[in-house]
Amino acid sequence: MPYYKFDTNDVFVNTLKLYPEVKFVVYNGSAYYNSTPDISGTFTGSIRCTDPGSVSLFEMNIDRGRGTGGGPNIGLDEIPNTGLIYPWIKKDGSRMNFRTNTQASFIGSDIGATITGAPYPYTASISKDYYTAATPRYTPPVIFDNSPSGDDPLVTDAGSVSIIRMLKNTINYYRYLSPQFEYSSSANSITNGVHSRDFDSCDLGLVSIPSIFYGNQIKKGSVNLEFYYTGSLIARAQDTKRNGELIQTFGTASNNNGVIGLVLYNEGFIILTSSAALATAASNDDYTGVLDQPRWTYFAQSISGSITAPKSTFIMQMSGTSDTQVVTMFATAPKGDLNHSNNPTYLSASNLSFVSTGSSGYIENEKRTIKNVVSSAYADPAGSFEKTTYISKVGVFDKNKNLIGVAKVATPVKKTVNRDFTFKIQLDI
Amino acid sequence: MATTFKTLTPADVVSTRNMLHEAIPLTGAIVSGTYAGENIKNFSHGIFQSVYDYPFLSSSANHIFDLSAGYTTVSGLSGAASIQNAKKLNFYNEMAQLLVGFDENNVIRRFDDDGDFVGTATKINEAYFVSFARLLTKDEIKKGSFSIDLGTTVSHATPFGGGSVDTGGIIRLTDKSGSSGYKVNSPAGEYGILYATGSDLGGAVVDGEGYAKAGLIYYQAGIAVLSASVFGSLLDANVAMDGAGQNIVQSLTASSITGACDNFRRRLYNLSFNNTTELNSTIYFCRVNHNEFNYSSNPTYISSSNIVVKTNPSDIPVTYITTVGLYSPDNELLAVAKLSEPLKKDPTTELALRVRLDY
Repeated sequence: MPYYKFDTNDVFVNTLKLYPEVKFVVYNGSAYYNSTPDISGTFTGSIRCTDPGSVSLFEMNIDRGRGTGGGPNIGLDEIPNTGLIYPWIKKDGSRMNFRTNTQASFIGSDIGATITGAPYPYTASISKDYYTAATPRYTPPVIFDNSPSGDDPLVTDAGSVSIIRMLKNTINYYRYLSPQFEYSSSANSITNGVHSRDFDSCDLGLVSIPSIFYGNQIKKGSVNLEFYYTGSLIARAQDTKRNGELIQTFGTASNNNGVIGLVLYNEGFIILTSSAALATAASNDDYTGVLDQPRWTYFAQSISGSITAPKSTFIMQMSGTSDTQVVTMFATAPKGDLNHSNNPTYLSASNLSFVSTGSSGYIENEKRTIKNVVSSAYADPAGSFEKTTYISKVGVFDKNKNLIGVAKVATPVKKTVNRDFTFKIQLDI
Repeated sequence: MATTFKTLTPADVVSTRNMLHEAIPLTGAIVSGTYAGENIKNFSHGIFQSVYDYPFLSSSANHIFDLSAGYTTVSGLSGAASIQNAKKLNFYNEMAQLLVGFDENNVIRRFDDDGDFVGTATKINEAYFVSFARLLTKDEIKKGSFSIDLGTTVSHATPFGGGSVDTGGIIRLTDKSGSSGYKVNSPAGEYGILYATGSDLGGAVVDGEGYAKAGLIYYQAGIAVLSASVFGSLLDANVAMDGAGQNIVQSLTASSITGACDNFRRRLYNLSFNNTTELNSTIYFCRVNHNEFNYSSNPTYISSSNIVVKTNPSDIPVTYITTVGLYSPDNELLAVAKLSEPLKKDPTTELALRVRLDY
């Protein structure tokens, strides 16, 4: 088998950029990811053991009920058989632990103890947070000053910080994209239309999108939000400028072309800032526990807590971005080469492989005939003989001639002395 | 950007391997009965059938194992009258080549129920093959964890008879010696011997603890080889493998491979094992001596020429370590390890930060 060395121009490493489409339909308390159906099973209400708006990490435990005993404990380690697939480890000096197992529980268990993780599936889904102007964005910690007694300060309440507050620096960072990215703008702000706006004290909606849905970042210019009321489209917003501004492109004329929210492409958040009514006062729905008109801040509100907003449907579309590194190799079969095969079928079966054989010796036939496979309209005479091979696979070897990959062609490629081919081999890495 | 570097010595770097396991229970109801055969894929070649955990036309379904049956040429079941005789022979030989290999005369070895290849009486000449999906077995089946319960009542209609291993109606096959008594003379990796136990083992030669050899489990390959005798000679009485009352011999000769597999699945009561995934890690012990890293070049460390984290100028210097950077010999930053909370460091303390890199 001949070997050919790849030249520098024969091997390329490229990055393939893909933009997978993501679509969420939010309706009546549920989200639906890319039209995933919610199928009830024999043992569970949903065979994926999660709602249709979630992705399941390993997609295991299909149609298996939680907590139903499956039989005797498993193995010599006596792992409880709950009927569900779940991970477990033995505690050792490596300090490996599951996130679902608390640090106190980990420290309290003995070396060699079994630590179990939560049963599959592990899921991720979008979420919506709605902030009224009065919703506190953070609660400061309560620290008791012990310095008079010479002791360290005592934290009696750790406090809390809302997601929107945690994004303050990130939002401000993107001011180079648009002046709309200003967490708190003054009355004299240079930002047109957002004077005196403070995310700490205004109505806003925040949609959080886990990165498993979009990859590296949300593709700029691909975000499309649609607000339906009793089945009719009443408003649409898109990031037409590709700078993170969500601009209303359909709906109430007075709101059109106005910025109704922001997109954080790298972080996976959509901030909805416009609380202008999208329909008349007669058109209302239960978005916050009281009837109110549709507003952009209520977008995807039906997955926020126990709110169902039964008259409203929300569609959120975007494209993700994923980078895949690809090695492309060009393997060339030159003219005049690769015209002979060591495959036994390359030779005519009419000649024996040996001249003589017996108990004391074996003489190989040195003059075996190559099978003439040249096509002819007649069985006899056959076509004029021409050395012909059929290439069925290309092997890729490392510098030590270890076979590290095999590329197969869909159908064997006919190779004659006068033909040359270049095989393009691609490998995702 | 660090301004002070410490060189890691060989004593500071150690490679480790941890084992992550998963408990894999498969109830018999999944593989037989619940989905009326919609989770069983039969192929036109008829050599094996694939079992899924849900109707396989659903994109949610996971392939859990392939099932087949076969026998060797020296088996009494081999003959021209047997249905799919050649395929049963070929499949046995294929699995034997893969899992047992060849002897010194380049002849395919037969499966040996004690793994020593000595003698002919201990050969498994007729077998069921359960080839588990890599999704379930991962790197390997954990030794000593495999268990399969089979219904052994005579009746085909009630294969388990509401019984148990102790009271009869079910036998249990386990690799009870797997954690320490596994074999290493297979080309496909390590394997253990499956021992059957149960009150129905009237026909079997059992050891002092009531166990009889009944098959083999190949841990890395993820394949279980079950002797067909678990439905025949090991038991008090032959069981009815199908509705017509065929015994195990008739099932393997007068039925196709898929038919024999259907009969097997009907008697599969429970199956469970633990799998293993190897997690390879490198641990870097980053040691901070008492006289190191007590000052910072962070701009926020100084305010008006004073160290901000000190109350009095005469106090000892203090820093808060938030991040450990791992650098190449050329001082290129390769990786960053973040602490969950800043660590206070002053000349009175020494730290060893343990940075683990999984790959």
